[in-house]
Amino acid sequence: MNQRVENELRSILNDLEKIGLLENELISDCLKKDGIRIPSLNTRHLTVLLGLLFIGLGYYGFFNAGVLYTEEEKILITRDIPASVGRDNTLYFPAQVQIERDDRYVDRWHWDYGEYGDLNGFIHRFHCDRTVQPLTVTCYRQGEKFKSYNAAIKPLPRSLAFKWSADKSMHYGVLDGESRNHGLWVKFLEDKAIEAELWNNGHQVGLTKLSDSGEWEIQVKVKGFNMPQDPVNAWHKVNDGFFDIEYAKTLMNLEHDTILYASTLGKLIFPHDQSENSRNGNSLKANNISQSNQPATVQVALSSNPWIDWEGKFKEQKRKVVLLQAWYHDDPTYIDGSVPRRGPKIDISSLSNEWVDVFLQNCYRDGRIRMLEYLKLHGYEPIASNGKK
Amino acid sequence: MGRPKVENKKETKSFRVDPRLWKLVQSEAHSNGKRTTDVINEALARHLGGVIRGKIDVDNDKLVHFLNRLDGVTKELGDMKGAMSEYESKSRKRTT
Repeated sequence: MNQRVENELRSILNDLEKIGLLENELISDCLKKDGIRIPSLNTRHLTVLLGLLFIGLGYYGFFNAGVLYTEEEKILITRDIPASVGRDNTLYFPAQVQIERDDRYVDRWHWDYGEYGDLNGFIHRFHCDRTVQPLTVTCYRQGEKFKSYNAAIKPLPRSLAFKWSADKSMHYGVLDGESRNHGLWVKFLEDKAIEAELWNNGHQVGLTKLSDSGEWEIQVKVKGFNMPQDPVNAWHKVNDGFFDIEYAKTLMNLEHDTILYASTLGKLIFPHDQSENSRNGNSLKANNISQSNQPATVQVALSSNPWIDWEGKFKEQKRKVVLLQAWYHDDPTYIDGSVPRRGPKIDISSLSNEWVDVFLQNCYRDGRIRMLEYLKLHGYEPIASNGKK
Repeated sequence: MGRPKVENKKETKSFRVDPRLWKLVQSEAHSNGKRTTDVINEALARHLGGVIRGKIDVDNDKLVHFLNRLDGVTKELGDMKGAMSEYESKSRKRTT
């Protein structure tokens, strides 16, 4: 090659470099036109590769990461929760474990109620049905204390279970050897049995309801299964061997503002006592204890019948709890009967003067103005030191 | 006895080119029995006019100046493949 050509090209390149065109780039561009180039990723290929990468990541995220997120990230486990007032003004007993999903609890585990009652070593697991309004929970027994979250954990087989709803209904029944509904389930509305279902290893085989005239009427039943004439009396016979009587007694001794263990489960476990009491005209309703001028505890103490004791004690406790709710919210509608769903009017005079004294003092101490006004209207001093005026 | 033979004699590069590109040009030149510098010279003579036409940094006066100089190079090469019309871009014509 002519040296002058080479020199001239060199000179041209130098001059071009002076106006900002780099020699390296110019030579590369020229060689590229002759097909000589450093192999590099084509932009189109790069785009395709990136697209495939994104699609792959998307598939992974959808089928794996997304599932993990919903299953793991939204579960919140809290331990040692103190007592509180929750949804539908429900008293929540202290829980040792609370499991929440999407900021709403699904499970509460209890094995120590502290000052609220003795569980005698039994383990409760309240499972909340999030799809039902109002709040509905089912309480199962569990064999072991909570260890780690398991959505598929089964209740203890052959054990007592109950379903409670904030509409004040309550079902009691038992589970079979595979933790399925079994035997006779009785539904109470407040403390009155109104419906019964017969179950056979997870399948309902009968339904009976209490009519307006007070008679049990069989609605439907599967051939081969006998629906008892009086489900309340038959409950403990039909379900015999499927529940622990000590657990049932433990439940009956618990005091809750809306779960009426004593006057509901008590009727199922000790139906004979109840019927005898009815025959003797010795029932609590017959005594009309709530309208008595004497403190309920005094009359209940006179009874030798355990069922009456439970019922009387429970009703008094229930009145107290409603009063405490009124104090908590500073809202007399809890006790004046003006809001039907909050129950009938509470007769404060049916409670002991000592208890009412303390209650008044607490209202004064905590500035419950509306409650103090209500109490004053009904004959109780705003600052009560001696109970009723 | 004598001086040891230098096996990897250092090659003087006539142009500032990316080392990887230089290697490619070297192998291209070797397969065609040419010098590396000659391959680059030919590529410059054939395409540099077209390349600088596409650069907006070069105004028309300068472009004409460089293209005239490249014409000289092409003539000098004489029998080099491709006439001026082949390597010049059609999209940007000389205006003077």
